[in-house]
Amino acid sequence: MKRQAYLQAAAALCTEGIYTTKRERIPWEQGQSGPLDVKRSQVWEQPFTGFGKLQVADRLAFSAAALVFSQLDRKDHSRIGISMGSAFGSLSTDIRYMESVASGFPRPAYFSATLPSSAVAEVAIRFKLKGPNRVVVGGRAPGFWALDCALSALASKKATGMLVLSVNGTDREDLESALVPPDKSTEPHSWAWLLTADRIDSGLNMRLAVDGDFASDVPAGTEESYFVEMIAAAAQRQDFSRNLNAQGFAGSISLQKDS
Amino acid sequence: MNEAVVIEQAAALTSLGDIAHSVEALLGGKSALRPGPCFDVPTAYAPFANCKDRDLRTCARLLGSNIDLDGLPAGRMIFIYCSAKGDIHSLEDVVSERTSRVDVSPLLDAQAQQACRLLGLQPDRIVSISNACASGAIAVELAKELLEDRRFSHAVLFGLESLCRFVATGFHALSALSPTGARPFDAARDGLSLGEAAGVAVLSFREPRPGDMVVAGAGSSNDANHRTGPSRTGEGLHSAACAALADAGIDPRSIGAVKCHGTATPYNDAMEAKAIYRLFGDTCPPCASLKGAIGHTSGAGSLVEMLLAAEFLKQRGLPPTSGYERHGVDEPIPVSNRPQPISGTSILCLSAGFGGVNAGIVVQEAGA
Repeated sequence: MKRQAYLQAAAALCTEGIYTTKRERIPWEQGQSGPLDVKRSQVWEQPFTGFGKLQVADRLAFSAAALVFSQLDRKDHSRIGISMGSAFGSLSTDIRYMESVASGFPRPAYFSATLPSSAVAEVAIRFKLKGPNRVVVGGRAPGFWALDCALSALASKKATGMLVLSVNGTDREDLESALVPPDKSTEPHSWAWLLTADRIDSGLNMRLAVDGDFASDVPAGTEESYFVEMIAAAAQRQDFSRNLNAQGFAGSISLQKDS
Repeated sequence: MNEAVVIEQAAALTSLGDIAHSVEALLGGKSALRPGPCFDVPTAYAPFANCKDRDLRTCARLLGSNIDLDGLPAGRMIFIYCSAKGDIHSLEDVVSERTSRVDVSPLLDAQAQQACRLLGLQPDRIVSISNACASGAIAVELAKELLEDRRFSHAVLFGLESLCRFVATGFHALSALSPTGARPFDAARDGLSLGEAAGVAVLSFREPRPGDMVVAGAGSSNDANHRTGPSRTGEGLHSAACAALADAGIDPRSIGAVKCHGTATPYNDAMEAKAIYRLFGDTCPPCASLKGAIGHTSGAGSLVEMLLAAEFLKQRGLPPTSGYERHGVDEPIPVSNRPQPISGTSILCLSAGFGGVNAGIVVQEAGA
């Protein structure tokens, strides 16, 4: 079953640097180890005094979303929803909170961020996104699932647009604990796409088509590499197409200039 | 009636027992709230009768024994695990001991896999939804969309929220807990009471038979207002309810009752009353919150409370709102400490959660 939407803008923060659909990759500065070290000035021109205090997943989600909305002139986002895939949910914050409990002083600021959906809240508040919400946690392809959920929400006409987010904002020390299965991608990253049901004035208006089915069984790292490739292609206004065949998975994803 | 998303089977466990016992107790005005402490936190709470039940393994076995998952029709199945924190008690061991072996992983997707194995299911897809206290409702909304798109022939939804130190100390740190017990919509309400619950539901998309319970509409929204507090205006919950009604293709006059979120925190109930009154005006149907009786069961609660609401609709009776004595919100919505009759064939289930998420589900009884 083929599903379609318009890609209006996209951005990714990953090991190699910052990608957007507006310009070429920006490598991390000297001394920056990657997405976990992102600075507010690299993603958002306006003041944001609490940026450094955000939990890592929230900071990465906000950063990718800010890069997306900075590419658009549009101001009214009230009918745009958010669909987020989160590789490890709020694992790092859960551990920080539990450590505060063990110390005898539970910290409410940590507890209020111990929900995978807290990253959605940060983005919704900043960009006034009042549409439907979906938060998918874990699996090997939470970002694919978030995209899937976004396309379903658009097809149901409950939103005019969906911001698709994929976030892995887990501290490295927590990933090193034995809790994380070895078959999951553990590279910190975030990426965001704005999809709309119809063309809009200030966006890319590239046609995204997804055919077949998304799975939780794709090999680790598949979605990150595909989405970064797609963002790079969109930045060049080039068509992109991939057939995805993995265990339990068959489908295709493509991006085309709208003629 | 055209094809619709039908609740084929359901099982649940609350602090008042399984669905049948919970419904009977709730309609009879019983409450499971008991005095604390709850994990050293001084508050009334509503635990499972047997504390072993809060473990994912025991809980899945209990639910599995109350539902016929072997008899599911052939076809593509999606399993949706819906929870805010699920069974996260093992995190305490991990933090204190850095153990490499836990019986139940604190990761939700690992819990989903484990629940599938325990239920003996081999679904085509497994996904975990975690939208705070609206997780169950959002999972229902997603399942409805996927089934209507014919991506899957049936969906198995599983929700679990168990009490542990993590949850109890967290809500206490936020000063959100009532010391004596939740009193939804009451003038003296002073916070929520924690509870625990688990539920499983099988949904399919087919032409319903008379008497079938149907998920007729679902909608969600975000307040875009505050990380933990609800909006003061109720706009977001109103918007989610409107989306659910639009999805069901009905207007507010068709709703026979409202199963409220009703946490008994001052701000939630004030917000919710505004949203409900804005939707229905002076012809508001009977409203009830279950949280004064079974506690706030977080993400799984919005699934379990929907399953209970379907039973209330079947019996045409809405339970009393336990703890409610004196009206404590500005809008004259009909909350009562006595059972109220339900007229009509539809009930609206509302939920909201941290992160500003709101959800509405319309459950309908299929007619002849």
